[in-house]
Amino acid sequence: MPEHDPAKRLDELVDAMLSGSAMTGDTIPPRDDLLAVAEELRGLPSEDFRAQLGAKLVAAARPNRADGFTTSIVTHSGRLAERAGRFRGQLLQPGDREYDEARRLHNGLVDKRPALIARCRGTADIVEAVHLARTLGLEAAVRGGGHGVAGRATIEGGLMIDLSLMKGIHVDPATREARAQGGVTWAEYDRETQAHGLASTGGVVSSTGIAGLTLGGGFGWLLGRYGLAVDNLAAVQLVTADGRILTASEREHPDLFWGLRGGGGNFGVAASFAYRVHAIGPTVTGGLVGHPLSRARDVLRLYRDVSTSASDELTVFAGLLQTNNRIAALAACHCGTLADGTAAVRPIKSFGPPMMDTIGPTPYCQMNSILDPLNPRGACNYWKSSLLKALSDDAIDTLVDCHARCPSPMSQVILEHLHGAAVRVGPGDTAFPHRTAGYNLLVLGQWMDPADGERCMTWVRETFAAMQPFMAAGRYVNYLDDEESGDPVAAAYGTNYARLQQLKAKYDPENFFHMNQNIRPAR
Amino acid sequence: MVASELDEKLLIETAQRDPRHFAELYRIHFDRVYAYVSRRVATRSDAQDLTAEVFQQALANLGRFEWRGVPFAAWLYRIAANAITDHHHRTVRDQNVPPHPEPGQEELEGAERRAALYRAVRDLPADQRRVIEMRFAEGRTIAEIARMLGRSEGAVKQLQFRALGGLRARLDQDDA
Repeated sequence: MPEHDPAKRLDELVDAMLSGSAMTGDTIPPRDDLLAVAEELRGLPSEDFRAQLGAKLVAAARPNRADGFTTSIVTHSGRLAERAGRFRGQLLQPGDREYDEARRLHNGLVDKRPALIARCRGTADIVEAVHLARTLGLEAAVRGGGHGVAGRATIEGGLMIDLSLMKGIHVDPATREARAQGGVTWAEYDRETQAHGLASTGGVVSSTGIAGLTLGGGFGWLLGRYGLAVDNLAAVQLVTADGRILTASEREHPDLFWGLRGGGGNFGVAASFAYRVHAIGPTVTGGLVGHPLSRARDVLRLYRDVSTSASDELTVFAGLLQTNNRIAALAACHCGTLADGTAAVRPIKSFGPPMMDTIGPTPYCQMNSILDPLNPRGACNYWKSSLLKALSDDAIDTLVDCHARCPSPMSQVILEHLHGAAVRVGPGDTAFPHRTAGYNLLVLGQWMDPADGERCMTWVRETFAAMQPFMAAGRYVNYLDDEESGDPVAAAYGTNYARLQQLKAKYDPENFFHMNQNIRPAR
Repeated sequence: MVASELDEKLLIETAQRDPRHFAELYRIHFDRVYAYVSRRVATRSDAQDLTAEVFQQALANLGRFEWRGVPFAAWLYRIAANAITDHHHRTVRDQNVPPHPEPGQEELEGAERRAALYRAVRDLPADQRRVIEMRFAEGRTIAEIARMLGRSEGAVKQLQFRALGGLRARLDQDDA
């Protein structure tokens, strides 16, 4: 092109080669080779032009009118990919026998119909699924255990990357490390780790998936002794938005590892997790004690006293809920010796005559499933949650009054106590920022009959509003509902949010993974 | 069906369903179209205009593209060849200029090689990439670049030297 003067370019190149070699000591490629490259580069397109033309074309493109084409394309293409042998799992579409079961989540309120469900059998399948979503132009959602109350594990008309077939677990007692794939639930994880007398902090409802719970933080019975689920993470294998497989740990991609410990599903699909595991049980001291609701205020004050003075080994949650009767309940787990455990739970067990008391030596696996019956799969769930400034007498009174108006037997108010190892981590050490001892309030609306839905949701909203004066600024990202006002994600991450936005811009600048509690990429 | 053909077929189907997804086809094929067109016209601005025209035509006619096992790139090259012929008709005002022939194998290989090189430029370390772009896309001299970047001419030459060496190694690797 005329803009270039070949003779001058040649002179400058020769000059450049000589100075380059003299200054760097690099191996000098043959001069003709470099000139050949320079010749090929003649007329290199400018990046500005490439970007501007791309933007112009996108602006000129108008979507076609919606018709039945999407389904047929997906049907066609899904089968093609499967037949090509690139996908080891299943590709399910509407009409397939297993589609309806596969699209369901724990929360029965969520009723979305993905255009395609990619049930992955391994990391390579996840890469393929990400690729397929991009190629088909479908939005993607990622399902681990499918427990997230907001229902972001699936997507209407998009591609659900379903990890529920990925059940591999390997426990190495010598290195005290457990590796588990993204579709594993806590029940499965606990069973395998406990076979070696080992455990790490998991969820309190055992049908919950390890992936979502861990990526958002992870409250569990061992949090006082060993921190949150996220504090036990050693590494995560992640498939990124551009289909790369990365390992994030303290040594590899440490910035990403920081973000994965609390940042949810924003940075990619977590194919597997490596956890540090600890000697636990197999028998711990734990269970549930329930008192009549008429004693709810006193039970919650007892809860405040017991939890405030609890050792790291003892973690106690409180709930106003219904088993056979409506009760004010304390659920406790002591993971130290049985003798210490017996002493630690004595104030709880000696408080008045309970309606029920199952606290005693209990297998750890069983401890982790005692709340399962209160959270059945398929029930409709609508939650609101916030950390509290303190559990004052006024807060307790308000909570008890609100619960008295609870319209469905399955709805609950829950208080979870953060303490011990979980709050000895600095707020900026991991993406999970809530590292002050205190309580998390969960107003858990739950019902089976669709006719109860509106009443339950109204009760949740009213209770949440009534508790506002007692709330701290922070919120636990795993409990955020689909219908939240304001900017709950920013609130959930507090001072860590800006750093997470930078990280999102680095690892998922296009926000491909946005069906989650979404961190917007920094601009 | 091989993987890349399958991908291409899916991409085209997707863009036909929703033309906004044409962006992905553009991203994949921009370099080869530009590399082909730029060697057939006299100025950078002609190369840019014709490249834009090729993609605008491709977008407008995407619905008519039928997958018959012929690569999408071949379709784009054909559009480009026609656009170049029209361009020459316009510029020399001579309707007797023979149509630009379908590109030959050697010409296409040249375009593909240059397209690979353009992509490799984007993978260079940021400072090397900037120098290469200023030098070859913006046509600036070493002295100008040094002044604009606030660095010595020696430093700019060194960056260019390293970049060219890196690109050469990358091309050798691709060839292997």
